[in-house]
Amino acid sequence: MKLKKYVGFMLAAVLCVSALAGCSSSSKKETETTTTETDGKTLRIAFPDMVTTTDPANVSSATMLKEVAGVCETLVYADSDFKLQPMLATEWEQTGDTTWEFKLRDDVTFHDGTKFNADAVKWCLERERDENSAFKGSTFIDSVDVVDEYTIRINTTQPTTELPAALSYVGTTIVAPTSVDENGDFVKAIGTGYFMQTDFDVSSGKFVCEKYDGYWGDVNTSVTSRVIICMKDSSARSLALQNGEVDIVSDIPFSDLETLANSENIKVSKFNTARTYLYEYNMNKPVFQDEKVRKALIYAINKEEIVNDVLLGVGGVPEGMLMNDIPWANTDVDTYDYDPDKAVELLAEAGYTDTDGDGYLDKDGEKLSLRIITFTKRPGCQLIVQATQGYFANIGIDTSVEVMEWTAMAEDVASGNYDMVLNSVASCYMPSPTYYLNTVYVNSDNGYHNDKVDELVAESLAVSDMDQKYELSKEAQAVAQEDAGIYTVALYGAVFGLSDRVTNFDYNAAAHDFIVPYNTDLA
Amino acid sequence: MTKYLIRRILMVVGVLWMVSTLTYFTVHVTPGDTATAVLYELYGEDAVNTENLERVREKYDLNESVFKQYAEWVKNAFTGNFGTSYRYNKPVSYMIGLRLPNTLKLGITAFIFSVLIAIPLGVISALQHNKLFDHISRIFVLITSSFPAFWVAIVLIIVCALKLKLFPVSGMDSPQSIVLPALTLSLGMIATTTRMMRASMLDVMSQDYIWVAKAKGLTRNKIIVRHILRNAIPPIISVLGLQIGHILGGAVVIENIFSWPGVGGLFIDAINAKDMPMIEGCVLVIAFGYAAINLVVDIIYAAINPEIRYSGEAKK
Repeated sequence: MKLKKYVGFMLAAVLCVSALAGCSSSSKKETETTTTETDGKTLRIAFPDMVTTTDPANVSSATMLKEVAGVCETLVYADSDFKLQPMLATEWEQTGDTTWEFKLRDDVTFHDGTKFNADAVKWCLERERDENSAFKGSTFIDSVDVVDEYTIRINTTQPTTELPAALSYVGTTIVAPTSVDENGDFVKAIGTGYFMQTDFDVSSGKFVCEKYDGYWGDVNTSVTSRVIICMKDSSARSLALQNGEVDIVSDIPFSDLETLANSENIKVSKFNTARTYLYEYNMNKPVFQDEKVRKALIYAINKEEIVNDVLLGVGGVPEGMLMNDIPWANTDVDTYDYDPDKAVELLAEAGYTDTDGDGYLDKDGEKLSLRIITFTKRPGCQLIVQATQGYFANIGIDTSVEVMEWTAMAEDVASGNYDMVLNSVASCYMPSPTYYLNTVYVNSDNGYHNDKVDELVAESLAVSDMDQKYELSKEAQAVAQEDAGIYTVALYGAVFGLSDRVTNFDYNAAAHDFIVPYNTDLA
Repeated sequence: MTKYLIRRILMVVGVLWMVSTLTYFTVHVTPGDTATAVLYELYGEDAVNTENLERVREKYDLNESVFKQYAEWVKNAFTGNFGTSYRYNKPVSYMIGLRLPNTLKLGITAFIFSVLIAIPLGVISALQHNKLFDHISRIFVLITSSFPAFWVAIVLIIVCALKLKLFPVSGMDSPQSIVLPALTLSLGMIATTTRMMRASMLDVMSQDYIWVAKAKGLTRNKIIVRHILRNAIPPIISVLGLQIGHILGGAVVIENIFSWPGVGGLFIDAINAKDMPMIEGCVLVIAFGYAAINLVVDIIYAAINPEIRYSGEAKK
């Protein structure tokens, strides 16, 4: 009995001490954070991904640092009209097929007071080239030479006229050489932005930054600090906004839109983005080698209904393969508007009719059955494939849909284990007229290939004149759209929930995926 | 007792080995290529190309056979090296070390909630057998054990946070942050413990020695505290032990809903990213927690009642 009492006491003591220790450490952390956050106005933003480091070589981290926290900047940036504008670089010039010169601002310091100059940019870009696996393929940067204190020469691995666009990509975010320790390990993001990093909790992904008094530009906001809170779960973000714990959230669940729109103190804003929802046929399968089948399936889908009723207006109906506002988007192409009769007619011409009266189309005794795959990360994907299944059923096509993680989907696509795949691609990850065509059509992973498209894209890449670039890109879009091997079914919509205290939040569709501008303020 | 202890500890080691092996091979047969997942998570889909895939496979020895990779992992694990997370690029033990205290904080608080609520509820229900309180308590238990935790979490958030504005819904910045996730996590445990406590009390109350105590003229309170509770509580200890194990598993879901930065969230993110070293690390921590708690419960039991030690020793 004594032993039992002893064990009981021990357990109780351990539990109480642990609980008290837990409470005390929470209280301590809260005090520290509050001190930081109450010196001025603090803008709290929910970030829809888990940030695991502040090293800009990581894509989530770079996006958070540059576009959401406002801690880091790039040499060039794309405005909301998708036009390139100077940022840390003032001007640039192509000096050879594979060389470019960039003049840098001479009035910028990093957050630790060190000079922003050519040496720092060389160090940073070459480090990102080595550390970020997407960097080299996106920018083609081979090396950087220092011409003088504020001029750099960038050598590329292949001729490119689009380096300035590549240098607006989040992966080229500039940090100071002092961001790493003597062993080369990344310690802290020391950037040039309006805000500077003051705290990062790798355990929760919470990032705190404060106004940097030595910022080079003019900013008009009363916000003196930003807190970025990582929330991967879309419902958690929505609830945190409703409970007043954050001021800005993105990608709210569609089911919460009405609730949030009817809430006091919350504003809901919808924007079309440069990201697309696109269907890709498995072009290696005989059924999709027939253009009539490819086009019939597009005619069978009611794109307007998908955007307005399935996606609840979060997104846009495409007038081509790209977002309509993009200056190089070709909207003078066939969009295969909803016409189920035409779909049936084209399928009949391709040999698909219901010969056995079972309600499904067949050819040579084989039922037309399709397997559509998509992935979980983007909120509209699952809804669109389910709607597609319904549209296909209406014209007698037996369809199964599967929703999986992106990597599982990529594996099925690579092995050809699918009929159609619904993907979502950021068309202006780099604001260039060839980026999307190159990524999706020229280097397609569904077996699509057209020499003419490849040729036009290569020509567009080679010329420097922007008008000529646009025209060549538009021509390539028209050819690819006519092939109908890959087609945009809807434009991705961004939906934001904002506390009604938030003002001056301007949306920039050229961002990846959204920017919280420096001037964003709190009433 | 020493032999018994050694045998039980060896069993725990065996359980951990089996769990880690099963996890390793199960994750390998799930769809999705590890190198693709790593590139996609760290650098986005633009980084997924043949050259980069080969580089990642080379870096993490993913070109080796699964068996060889596993053997290497086991060898390192025995030296205390659980590898480096692909996603965090930091040692697994370091990341788990950062997150585990948060999960323990959540688990211990949930445990305290459940004990503080379930034991009195079970005791009063038994004492008020078939009366109004007993019926209400049984309905409460039925409801809490029937609804899934994620649904209960949403209801608690809507009522306690959005309507009553009592608690935050996410993170762990303030001491109040722990209340909703801990309460959600404890509800399932409250249901089981209340039922067990009530049943155990009723069982003891029907024993002859309770009648004898009453006949001797002992007061009601003395009978309850000295005779009923003292004999009704020991069976509850093993139930509580098992429940702590469930808490560790349940935390995986609850942490995600409440954005609580514990091992559960780390585990889910690791699965999505196919971050094998981190998956194994998290599984080992959860399995070790479960096995260790059961071991402690068994030791307490064995200490209380030597007859339940293994039979050879008991017969001596």
